[in-house]
Amino acid sequence: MAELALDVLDLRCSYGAFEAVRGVSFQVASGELFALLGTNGAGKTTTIEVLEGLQSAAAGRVRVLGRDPRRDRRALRRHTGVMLQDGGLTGQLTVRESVQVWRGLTHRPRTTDEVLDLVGLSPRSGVAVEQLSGGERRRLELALAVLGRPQLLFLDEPTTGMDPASRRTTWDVIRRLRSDGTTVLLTTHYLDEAEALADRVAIMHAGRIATIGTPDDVVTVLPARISFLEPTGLRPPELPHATVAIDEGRVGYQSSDVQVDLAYLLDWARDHGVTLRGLTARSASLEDVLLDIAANHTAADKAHQ
Amino acid sequence: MTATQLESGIWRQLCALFGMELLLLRRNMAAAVLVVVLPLVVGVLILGVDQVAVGDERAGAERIARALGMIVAIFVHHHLVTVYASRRQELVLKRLRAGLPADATIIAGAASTVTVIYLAQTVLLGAYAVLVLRFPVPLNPVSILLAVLLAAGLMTTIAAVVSAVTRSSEAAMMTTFPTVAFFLATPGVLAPYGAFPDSFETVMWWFSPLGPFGEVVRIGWLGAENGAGLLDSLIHTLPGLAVMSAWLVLTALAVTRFFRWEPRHK
Repeated sequence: MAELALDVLDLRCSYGAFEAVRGVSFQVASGELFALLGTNGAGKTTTIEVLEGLQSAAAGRVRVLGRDPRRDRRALRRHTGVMLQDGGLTGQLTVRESVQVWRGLTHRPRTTDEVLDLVGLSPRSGVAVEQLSGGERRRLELALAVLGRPQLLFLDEPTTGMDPASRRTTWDVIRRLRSDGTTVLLTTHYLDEAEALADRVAIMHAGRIATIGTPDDVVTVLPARISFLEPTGLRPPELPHATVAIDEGRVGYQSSDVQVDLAYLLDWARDHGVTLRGLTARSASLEDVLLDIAANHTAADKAHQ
Repeated sequence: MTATQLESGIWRQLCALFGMELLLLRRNMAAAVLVVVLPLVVGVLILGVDQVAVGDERAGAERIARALGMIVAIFVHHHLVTVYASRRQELVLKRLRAGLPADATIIAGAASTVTVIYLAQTVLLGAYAVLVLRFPVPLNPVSILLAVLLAAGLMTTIAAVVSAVTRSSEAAMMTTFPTVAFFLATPGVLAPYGAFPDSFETVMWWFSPLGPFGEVVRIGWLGAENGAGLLDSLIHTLPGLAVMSAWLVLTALAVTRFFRWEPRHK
């Protein structure tokens, strides 16, 4: 078994004239849960589909469990499970029938009852797929993806459109699989999902990876925010590691060393006898990272400044 | 069966795909009538109710050939296009392709159910001809079976290609019109051999995938004109079977080139 479950080097992918993926590189170790995070159109689905063997790369090198996902398809497929972004189920079959058909197409499948129980669809086993709710449908697709107890799991936006209960169930299933040693590559546009599940995250924007690391790493690259309501008649101080901006009566600092700057600020407020009303100080969240990237800079560029 | 015994195998995959299409056919009454019942009705209409007269066996064999040809060219072909179009639209083809089965297995599996139904219809109509209409028992069932299988295979590959331009199963009515019309214009399918000028018949024998079909079925049923017995019949059907096989290879290559596994990007 290869040490690296996934090895992507400078992947490029185009649809006709449109370049959807423009030089993406990352590696996923065996047993890791890796998330590709980004808005729609960032290139996440194209990337995961290249790894699934559904799309071909225009350039770059891709290795899944040490092999080429298109050429070595037959050898690889017994070890992988796939959940597409959408679709893949025939509407008129029941839940149970869908699983039974798919068992015939899976290497060493779990039993029907076992897998329906795993995703919580046992009470709905006689219902036609077209009558399931969106969340139930996604859970059935998850069941089919894990039917063969795969070593490597590809999940493309697994909880999109799910109600909160289905989301929790799905997160639990994914966590359980991961603790069994399954390697998981997940794409999502939900920040809380990446924060809750992923060992490491790559943020994609416009076909490139903007930043990569653990959720904590990724977040600390961006400055923390300190903010309070503008005090009357007094100019806010310069802080040693921060830039200041005043917007509609609120003072905001972006600080690269929040602890030092906060201490400086509190000293200043005490020396001048000022009460800092509405004071907040927080690390950047993934949402900030995403918004920041979408607003043109990459977080990596910022870290280099 | 324990999990360890359920290894992935092509046969198991084909059975799973066969089962899926069979289940779907049972759920869809309109399609079931179109695929199972109507072809038998058409077959009986073409064969007629009169017992075959002595000396008129050749015309009788040609009627059977035309019945089988029409069933495959209209009903089997159209149904296959709807199957491929629907599975593509539902993204089932894409999902299958992300899994274990090979591309060829997926395409063959989707066609397996209607192919088996067509084989059953062939046997039923043959039995009707022999038992009710007093046709002679077919001399060379091997050639007939091969012709029927090749015809089903050809309808599969051609339907796969046509489905690439068929957006939905409803659209199949329109997109299959040219191909069905072409097949029906082939001598020996709708109109009997001899109804067209010789030059046209020769061209169509070579250039229509169903060109030799009628002739092979007739020779398989009654034997060769200039020979007698099973071996002669086999030998005389070889050219026709070879041409159909060549068409199967060509159309299969067209499938690898033109088949779409997912709908066009919006």
